[in-house]
Amino acid sequence: MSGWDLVTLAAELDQAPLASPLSEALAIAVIADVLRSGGVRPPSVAEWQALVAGARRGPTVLRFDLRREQLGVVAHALQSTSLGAATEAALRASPPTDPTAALEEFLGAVFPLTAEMIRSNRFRREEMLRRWASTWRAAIAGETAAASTERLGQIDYRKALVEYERAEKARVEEAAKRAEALRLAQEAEAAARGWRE
Amino acid sequence: VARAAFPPDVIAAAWRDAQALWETRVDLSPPEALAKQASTDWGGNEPLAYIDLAIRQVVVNFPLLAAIAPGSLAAVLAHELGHHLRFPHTLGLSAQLAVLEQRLIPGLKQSLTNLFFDLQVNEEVGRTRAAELADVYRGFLRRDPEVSPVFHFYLAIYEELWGLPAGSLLPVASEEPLERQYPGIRADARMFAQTFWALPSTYLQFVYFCSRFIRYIPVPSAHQLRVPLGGDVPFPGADDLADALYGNGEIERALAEGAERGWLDVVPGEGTDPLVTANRVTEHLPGKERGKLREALVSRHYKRLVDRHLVPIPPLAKSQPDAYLPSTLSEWEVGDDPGRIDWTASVLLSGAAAGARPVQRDLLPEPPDTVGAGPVAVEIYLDTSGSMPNPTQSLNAMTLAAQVLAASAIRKGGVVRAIVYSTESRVSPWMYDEDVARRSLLHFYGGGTEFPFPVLDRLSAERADVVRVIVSDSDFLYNVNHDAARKVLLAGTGRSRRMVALLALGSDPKAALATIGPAGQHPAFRLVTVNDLGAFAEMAARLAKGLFGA
Repeated sequence: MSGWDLVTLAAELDQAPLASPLSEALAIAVIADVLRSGGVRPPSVAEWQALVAGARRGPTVLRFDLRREQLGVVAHALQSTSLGAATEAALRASPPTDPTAALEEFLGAVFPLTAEMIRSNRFRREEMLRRWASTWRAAIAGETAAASTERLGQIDYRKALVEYERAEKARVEEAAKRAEALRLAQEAEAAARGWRE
Repeated sequence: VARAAFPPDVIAAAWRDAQALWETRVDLSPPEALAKQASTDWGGNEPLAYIDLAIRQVVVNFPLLAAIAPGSLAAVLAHELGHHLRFPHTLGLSAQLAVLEQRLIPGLKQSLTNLFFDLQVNEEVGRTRAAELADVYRGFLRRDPEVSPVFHFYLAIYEELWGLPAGSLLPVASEEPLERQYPGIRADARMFAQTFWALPSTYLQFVYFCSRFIRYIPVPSAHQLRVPLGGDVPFPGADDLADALYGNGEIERALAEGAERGWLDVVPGEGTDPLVTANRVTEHLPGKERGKLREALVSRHYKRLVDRHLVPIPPLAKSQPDAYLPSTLSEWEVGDDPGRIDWTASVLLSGAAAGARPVQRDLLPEPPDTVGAGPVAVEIYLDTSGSMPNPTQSLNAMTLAAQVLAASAIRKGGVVRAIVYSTESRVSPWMYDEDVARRSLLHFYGGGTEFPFPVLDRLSAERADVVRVIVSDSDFLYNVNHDAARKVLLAGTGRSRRMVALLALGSDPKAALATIGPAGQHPAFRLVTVNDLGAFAEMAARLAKGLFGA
């Protein structure tokens, strides 16, 4: 089965770490070039502005910065690895009806991944690559569509955060009990030591 | 079965593959069967594999491997090489983590450091051989299907790391009850797998690791876990652990960051007593080994404290003493010191011509005074009654003071004898070595206080050129407060180069001297009192300087 080779892409990204963030204009230019090479009309200037500014409607300014970061990371990967060629091929194979909507969907899906998270954590990097593949309906090499969906669910950071909340809540309660047990044990130990002040 | 499963060519190929995974050739002998290493008694808990660093030999339990995962030899060897080459990088690091975990999980019986290093190794080995490692864990669970919460969490991490569906390694039946017992355990494992390996430093990883694992260790003091591929990292020795007892800045930064990231409620205090830590980090070792390592660690700690009180001062160059001893005669010549003319000798030699031919007597410097010189001999009578703590468990100010005195004397070329007493007493031989003396003075009885007057009587009769120092508290005054005792003390003082009572006293020294009686008036007797136990060692250092010039 053909498709994107995520192992190779990850290795290429390891070999080409992002030294400094790409500017918003450069990131947009790189992504637009790939779309054009894939035979797809890129979003207009106004649409790009809306894509980035769309986040301004979000609850915090951070989301706005986040989108710039995310576009920068994608542009870097397109520029420095075979992801650019793979994306062009996917676009030709299955041209999106509305590339602007597809990009909006992608940016919504990768929230709240930061550039640093993607740089330093291979799970976050894999998630970003898989979401980018999913955006352009590209298959993952060696996987069925169902397996790809399942894997994406397994490494979904937002989902993990929500499920993790439950563990954290329980942990806080358990930690309080443990601290009390420890305090009692330490008191007993100090008493047994018989130190004379 | 094992021989059939692992013929020599299979072992050789697996060994090559394992080395290739780490992209290195190592200076280790090829794998050998565990059965040949008959010297160790595993008590039925034979490891799957390990590296014997003493003979630089990889050892594999082939029958066990054949039973649980015959196709995983290369992965197992790669795992062992991972410990040897990368994780832990040094046993010093392993020691630092063993000490750190006692701050994070106080009282933990069995160290988690091996498990921590296993996670690091398996992530790298699992990049290409995850299926083989998974087979090892599955095979282990087939033999022993009981899964503790911490082992469940540990294996769930691998399921998440290697992208395996839940229940691939773990028994499916264990997931639900543990999810009830520990809500969110699966999500916790998932988040762990997605966080742990992305952390930038080993110490930070370890803080995170402990902060997550502690949840699944309900009683740290009872924690004991047997895992496949575990028990294969050697426990650090005394040198590494002694260095680790005092922590380092990187650890403090990792703890602060752990608290900042919300993994820890508070940064555990730095004030952990190194002696308590020394006891805790060796808790899991077998009896004899534990005793030896503890003794070494406690001894190192006291040496550090002794050294703190005995700052070496560079000796000043000695000036040549003035010459004044008369020697041979020679003719006096113009220009010589007229004061050297020996007129009596001149008259005896030249008669009336003495004025024309005076002679002078050359003067020589006096040789150094030999009286009282030579190595000092010190007897230290150390009170180890139960009113003071066991020095191996808490800092004992009297023991430390005695060690300061002993170290001072030995560093000046002297010899030391320790008389450690409580209701009984123990007399050491004369000791020339600081470490031997320190260990001897770590002996502790912990009973009542009975100063060994018969021992003093006997030893002072044997040898009189000895400085005798009694290290005790007000209990000594109770002991000496009868005529027979006073008599022995007086006699002993008379047969000593110096007799010093270094006592922790809250009362008036004059009253103490009155209790001591005639010995207190003897020119060789000195009473040194300390009000605060914390000042005991400092006072001992001053005393040593006065007595031995240390």
